[in-house]
Amino acid sequence: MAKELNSICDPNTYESVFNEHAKNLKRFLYFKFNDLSAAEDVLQETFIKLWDSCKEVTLEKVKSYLYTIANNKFLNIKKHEKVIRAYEEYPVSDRTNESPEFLIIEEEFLEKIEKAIAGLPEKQREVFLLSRIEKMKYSQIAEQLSISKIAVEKRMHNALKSMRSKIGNI
Amino acid sequence: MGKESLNKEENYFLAKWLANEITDDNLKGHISAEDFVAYKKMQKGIDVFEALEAPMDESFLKIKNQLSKNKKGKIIQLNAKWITAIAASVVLLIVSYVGFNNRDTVINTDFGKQKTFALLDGSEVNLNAKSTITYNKNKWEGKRELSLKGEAFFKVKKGSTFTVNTTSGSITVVGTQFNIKVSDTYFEVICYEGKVEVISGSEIFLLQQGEGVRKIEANNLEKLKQTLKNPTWLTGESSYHKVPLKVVINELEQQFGVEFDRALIDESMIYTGSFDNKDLNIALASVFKPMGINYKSTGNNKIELR
Repeated sequence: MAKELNSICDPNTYESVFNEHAKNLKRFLYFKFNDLSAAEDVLQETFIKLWDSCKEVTLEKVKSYLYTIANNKFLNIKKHEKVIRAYEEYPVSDRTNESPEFLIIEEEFLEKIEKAIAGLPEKQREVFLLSRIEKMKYSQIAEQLSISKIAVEKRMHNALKSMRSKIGNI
Repeated sequence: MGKESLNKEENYFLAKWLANEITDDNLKGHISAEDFVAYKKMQKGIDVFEALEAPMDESFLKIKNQLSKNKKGKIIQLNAKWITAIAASVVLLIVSYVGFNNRDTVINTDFGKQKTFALLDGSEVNLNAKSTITYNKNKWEGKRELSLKGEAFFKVKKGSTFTVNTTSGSITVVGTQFNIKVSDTYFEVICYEGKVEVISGSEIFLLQQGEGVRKIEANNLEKLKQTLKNPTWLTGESSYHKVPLKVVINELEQQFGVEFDRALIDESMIYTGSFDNKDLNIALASVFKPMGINYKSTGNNKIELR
């Protein structure tokens, strides 16, 4: 009975496994690929694979199972990319330092950002999170907090400035 | 000199730059090259932070969809006949898929029925009787937009803007709870949580919690106050405050699927009150008795008023 309840084949258990591990697994994958959409794809494939083999995986092993599957998928994709690249007539370098789109965000750097955000004064952090996580416009934030739009911009500006100084040399 | 004007107008250029209000080149004018590289990397880092912090509901929904598709896969021994049949059905499937995909999703309710359902982003919609909601699944991810006829109560998940188009105006929100009622003669929006923007013709209203607007026939929009937590129709009651009787009779028709003969009464009388959505007799009594109107069934779901 207890065994059945804990089976990953049970949709509720499956969902709670997802809720527990998905965010960290996505983060893990992001730092491997340096690409958000690739991380998202592999995340989904990994959990689909977990469902397909839910009978073989116990709840105790599920974490290492997920990371192993995800890592294998990552390696396969990279291997495939290498094959493609070998056949390309003019190999193109996919990363340059000049174009910021290809800037690599290392895990340490993201941790610095997270720390910097967490360390912002309450009022600045509130504006920062409303803007970036809740995707609100400055005018909307101004209304919600009953302050002027200029005041919102000031907090945001200062938030970025203080994050810049905390992050230090890059 | 440059510094002076900078202090007045563009003091908060970092905020403006992050919101894409000024360009990279503009930012370069304000700070050192080294700082520019640092901010550019911070911007990317913040994007990653956002993406990794975002709720995972959507991913889970996609996985569930994928799983329900996979379920159908079973192993069957193939022979030539089967292969032809399968090939034919694959072609058919692709054709119908392409056709389907561009089609709008329509959800509607019949007389006296209500429906509750979730949209793709997890937002919740309660649809009142004889109402229709239409949206396009494909465009949904980029743009949360749908159109409504009738009445619905929305609980919108936070995220990008969410727009409801009606024949009387459009309503835009970010994440909130609100009720819309729209018919040929009546238009009403009430905000139950958060903030709602209503655009009707050239008029724009910003509603706070507990505020509403309505428009009766061709009159101007007027403001309403509202103290309840949810619309009363969710619990099976339609209530009105100072509306022409016509609007109430239309609602009775939708809730009970009946038809009124109104030739002998003055439909412009003003009604305040509520009626029960479950029992027609109680509803008729509570609307027409206080107004001094007699009603009589003439068969075939028709009711004569006099």
